[in-house]
Amino acid sequence: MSRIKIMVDSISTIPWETADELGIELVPYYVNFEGESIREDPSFDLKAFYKKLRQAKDWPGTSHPAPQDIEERFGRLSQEADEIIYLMIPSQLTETYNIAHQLREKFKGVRIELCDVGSVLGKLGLVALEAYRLAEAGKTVDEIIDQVYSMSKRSRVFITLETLKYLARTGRIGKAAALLGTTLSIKPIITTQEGMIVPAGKTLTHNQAINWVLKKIKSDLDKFNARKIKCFVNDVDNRKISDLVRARLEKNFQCEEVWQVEMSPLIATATGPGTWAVSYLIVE
Amino acid sequence: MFKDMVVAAYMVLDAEKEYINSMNVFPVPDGDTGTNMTLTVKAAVEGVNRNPCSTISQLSSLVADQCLLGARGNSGMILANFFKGFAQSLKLTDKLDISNFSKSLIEGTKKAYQSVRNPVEGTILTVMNAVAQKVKEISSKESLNTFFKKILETADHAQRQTPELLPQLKRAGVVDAGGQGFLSILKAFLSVAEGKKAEVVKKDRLSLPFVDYSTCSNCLHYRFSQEFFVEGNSVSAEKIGSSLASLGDSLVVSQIENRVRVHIHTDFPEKVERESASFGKFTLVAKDDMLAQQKALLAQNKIGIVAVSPGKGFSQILYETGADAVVTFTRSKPSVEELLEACAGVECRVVILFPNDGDILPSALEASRLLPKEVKVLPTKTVQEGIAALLSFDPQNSLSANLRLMEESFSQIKCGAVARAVRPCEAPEFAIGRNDYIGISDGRIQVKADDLGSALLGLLAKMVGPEDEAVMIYRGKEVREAKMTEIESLIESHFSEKEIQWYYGGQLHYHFIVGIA
Repeated sequence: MSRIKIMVDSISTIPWETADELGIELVPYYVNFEGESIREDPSFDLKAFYKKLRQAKDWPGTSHPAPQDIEERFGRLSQEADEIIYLMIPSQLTETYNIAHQLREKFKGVRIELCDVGSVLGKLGLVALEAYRLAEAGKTVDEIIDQVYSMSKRSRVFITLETLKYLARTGRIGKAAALLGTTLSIKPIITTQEGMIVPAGKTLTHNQAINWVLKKIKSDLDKFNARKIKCFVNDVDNRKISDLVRARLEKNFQCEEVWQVEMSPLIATATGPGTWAVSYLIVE
Repeated sequence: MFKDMVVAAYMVLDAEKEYINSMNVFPVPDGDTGTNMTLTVKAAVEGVNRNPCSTISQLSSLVADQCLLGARGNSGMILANFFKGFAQSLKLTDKLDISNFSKSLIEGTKKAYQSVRNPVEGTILTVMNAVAQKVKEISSKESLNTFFKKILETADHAQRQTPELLPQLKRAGVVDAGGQGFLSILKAFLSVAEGKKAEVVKKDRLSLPFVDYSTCSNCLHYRFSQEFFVEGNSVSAEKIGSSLASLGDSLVVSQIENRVRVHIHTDFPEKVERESASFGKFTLVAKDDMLAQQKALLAQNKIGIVAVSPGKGFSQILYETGADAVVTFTRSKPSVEELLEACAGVECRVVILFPNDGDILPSALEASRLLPKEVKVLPTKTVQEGIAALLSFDPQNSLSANLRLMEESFSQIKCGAVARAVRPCEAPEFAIGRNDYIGISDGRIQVKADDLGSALLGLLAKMVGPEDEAVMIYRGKEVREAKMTEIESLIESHFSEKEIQWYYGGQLHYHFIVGIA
């Protein structure tokens, strides 16, 4: 049996300790803040970051993984494994795919598959965790990749923002720009579609947004004639809301897994304070 | 000397990076080109500081490798590839004279072009290319000083031309950010050639007008969307990608062993198929005519929305929230005929009419009976309800699904208003005198007060519950703006836990209209 290792972007918000325990390799992204380039890694002090963020004069920028971060992992994993699957965020949003694509040329002895799942956050995380389990169960790389693409059709991410102004700054607002510039202060809900950021809904309050998301899950369950979900709940410095969202999810659905994790600093930077997100995978 | 040049380049870039960031609009307007280029060159500086090199060929390839490893962003990747070509040309030499410099600038430019799947002019590539063309004319007998002066002049000229080549730049009123970064590097090279210290002056950000991202190139649409596999023993995503790059956009190519999956938006699906089939077995997954889809959707399924508004401020909000036509009234409520006209004017097969007033509902129903097209009346009794309903409208949903969703969402909003009593009257709990301020909700007078602020506060105290998050307060035409500071701080200090939103509604009769959700 060939040995397969799973690599995934830190933006998946799979907790570092979980990744460590399972042997999933997380690839760190960067936040550029006050002249410093800070790596998303276990030493990243989220509390301090949020505190600084609230007082920030200049809003931080974001950056894809440094090529050496990817190269180092390719090098190390190729010692342990015959095959590597790297699940990453959409090539429409960053350079990561191109960098990894160039770098893998250097590692001829190992098969490296680059998998653009077309999404971010828990949707990427859920799919990566499943990919890991399939590898553990002895599936081949091709079987895993087929599953990855079919699972990405059974999963979604919805991100509820306080405002679109931070996302507009990143230039990655895509079609969600349609929600910009209105007098009414709404809570926009965005999602990803084939790697692009698109508007999904608009509500007046977080509570309405939660109901909106619950309805979407319900209709997806009906569509797939399924009952169970696995999900991620992410928040930007807003534990109160993620607790509430989690409770509502657990009350309304059969959740096989619920991962409640703070937002990746990069996504927090790109979406702004108060943001929360739900990702789910329709199980069966 | 080359080492000094690289260090100087880093220092100049670092000082000018914010200025460069501020002009970044292409390909993604994310404002990080300056930072990315600085970090890319920084990696090179760190590398040469760690590893002393004895020859120029060693040094230049170390710079190239370090840049490639530290490369950030599109422009960083291009710059790193430029240095790679630069270094390759210096492989067999040990001195950096004008002739070698010229050759390596040409090779660097070549490599930079090759690294991009879809080279676009009006970018850093254009500036590099201008330099590569210029060096061919410069005699190798010139001094290094003059050599760089001439190059810089050429680069500067090319940089000024970038908006003419790239419409996104022209629209935003900037020159290309990557090109500007390259100019900073050449400036640093010149000062080292002159034996001077590089001029490091921190440059501030440009202040630019807001860029409308919805008109960016990445949102442009081709007619067809095509998805397919190419299968064969020696297929390469790279090769297929580059052969298709000129045929469309939104190109995504990924390889799974001997299969390459391609997604592309194009106007030439047959060409795409022919081109791809030359690499291996072509299997179509999906082909959609997006233009036809869009047109069909617009003509058949588009649901028109007509809303009644009691004031100018509300009308603007209703339009922004998605109404296709708004009937604004002031003193007298709109007639059946006015409603008919508005519904008829909307070019959709199906119209949803929002009366937004209990008294207008009968006229709306009458109008819906008289029109030949299908008009559904959503029985909103207030404009706050109408706004809440509009927010949950999803053009992709069916009419019945939309009506169900909208009814649900407007029933969840609590509505109230503050007005002045025009004559004395008796409420169940208190007597009201003429000119008293009264707060109304649920069709009843809930509070009375001598002043406007207290009336609003009293009404909200009755209406706002612990589960409510947001309070939307719409100011009427008769309330002067000057009075608002006092009222706003009164309300906000009492409801610090809630999100209080203030808008101008522009309605007559009601000083405030309130929606709570």
